[in-house]
Amino acid sequence: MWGMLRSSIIILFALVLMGCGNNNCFKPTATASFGSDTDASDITFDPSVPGDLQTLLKADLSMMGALKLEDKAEDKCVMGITDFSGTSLVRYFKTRVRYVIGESYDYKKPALTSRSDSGTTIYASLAGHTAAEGDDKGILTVMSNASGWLYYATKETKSLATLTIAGESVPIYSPRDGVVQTGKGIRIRNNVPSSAEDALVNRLLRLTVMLHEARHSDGHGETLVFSHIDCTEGTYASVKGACGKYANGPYAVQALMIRKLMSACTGCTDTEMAGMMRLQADYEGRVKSGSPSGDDRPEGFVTTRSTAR
Amino acid sequence: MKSVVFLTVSVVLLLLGIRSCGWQSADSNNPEVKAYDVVRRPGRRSRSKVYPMAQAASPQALKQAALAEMPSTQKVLESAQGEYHFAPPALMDGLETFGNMVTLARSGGENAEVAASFFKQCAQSNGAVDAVRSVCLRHFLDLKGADAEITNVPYPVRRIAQKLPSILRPQ
Repeated sequence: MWGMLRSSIIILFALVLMGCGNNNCFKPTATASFGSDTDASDITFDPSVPGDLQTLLKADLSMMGALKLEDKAEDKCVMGITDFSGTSLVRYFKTRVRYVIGESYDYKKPALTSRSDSGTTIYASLAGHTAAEGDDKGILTVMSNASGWLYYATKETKSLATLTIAGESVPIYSPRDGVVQTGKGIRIRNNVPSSAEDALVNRLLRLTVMLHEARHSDGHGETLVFSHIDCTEGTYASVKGACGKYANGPYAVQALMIRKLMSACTGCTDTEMAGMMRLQADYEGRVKSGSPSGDDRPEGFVTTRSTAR
Repeated sequence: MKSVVFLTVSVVLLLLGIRSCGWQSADSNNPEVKAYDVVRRPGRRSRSKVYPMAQAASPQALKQAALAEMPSTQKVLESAQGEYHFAPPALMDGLETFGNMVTLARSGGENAEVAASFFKQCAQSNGAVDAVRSVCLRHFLDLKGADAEITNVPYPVRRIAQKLPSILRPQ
């Protein structure tokens, strides 16, 4: 009897250890979001985001807190969260995204000052870091992570980029300062075109774009901002910067969230579900088979600023 | 006597209620029934939106339309216009005719057989983009069983299909 009990405890212990599915699953990172844990719509929108787009995105974000999605251990590993409740998703998002700027906002020309490393929580070498260099001039803006780009661009020169967003001075000490840029592309890409812009399916699909961009606020050193890399196989084999290097990077997060949100697409038609599946398949195909999970601890001076608001 | 009448009335009312809630009739497995009659399925979210083509065409015609509208890799890449960060718009080409195939598959019987043959052809279609082929493979395997034989499907398509949810597998 005691032997059986002991065996059971050992098996249970082993199962708990295996809970994340593999050994390269990183522990959830400490979260430090702001405002309400159930409402993601209270992030700051710069006036460069057109009013109707702000309204649309705020309505999308306000849905996030009400989501209740199925939990699976291996799924939690991809995003580094403890569960898929709406509260967790809101916290995940707001820890990584705080500001939204419009496509007319030229964040690539910020005010620059010198930066000291005091207060830096993690500052890792970029050795081994690979990022695709793309010419993005004239390309439709869907969404991109501006703070990740600025931090990456100023890291080696130890300069500090500061943006003014909605009248607020926002120094970029870390990608976690969370500035994303969006434009009209988010209304016409990654959606089901035959459904209305405010149809549930398209709201859910826009949320997956936002969670993709949120993931770019993570990583350090080699994994900094979970940069996209050039594709070597599949549909985008010859395309620059359309693939992911890590099994827990932005494309993996987006594919995962599309799959999970299919269960939340209540009343969606077969066409809408087929659209979600196509998009999930597209993003799954951008992450190479056997890709490792990357260390998703964020880089930069994040602690104080994260709790400052 | 009273209880027999009560029981009969109850059963009739129950059947009427179930029917109005969207349950399929026994006819739904009848190949003579047109696609637009059988788009609902029991106990699930409403999927009763049927597109004009589905209302006018036979399952075979719907299949041919869906095959003709499948997006090719080349077209998907061209439609990106330099923005590859998120899926190019042509990935959604032919989505409505594809949705009709899913609807047919749900309706069972001969309609589902037509849908399965569409999904098989689609998964094997070399020119079609991998994302769509993998969705087709997922549906085919859900309809015909995980061990169903299907050749000429490259590894990348099979790999992606494994990650997709089984929305057609009987619950």
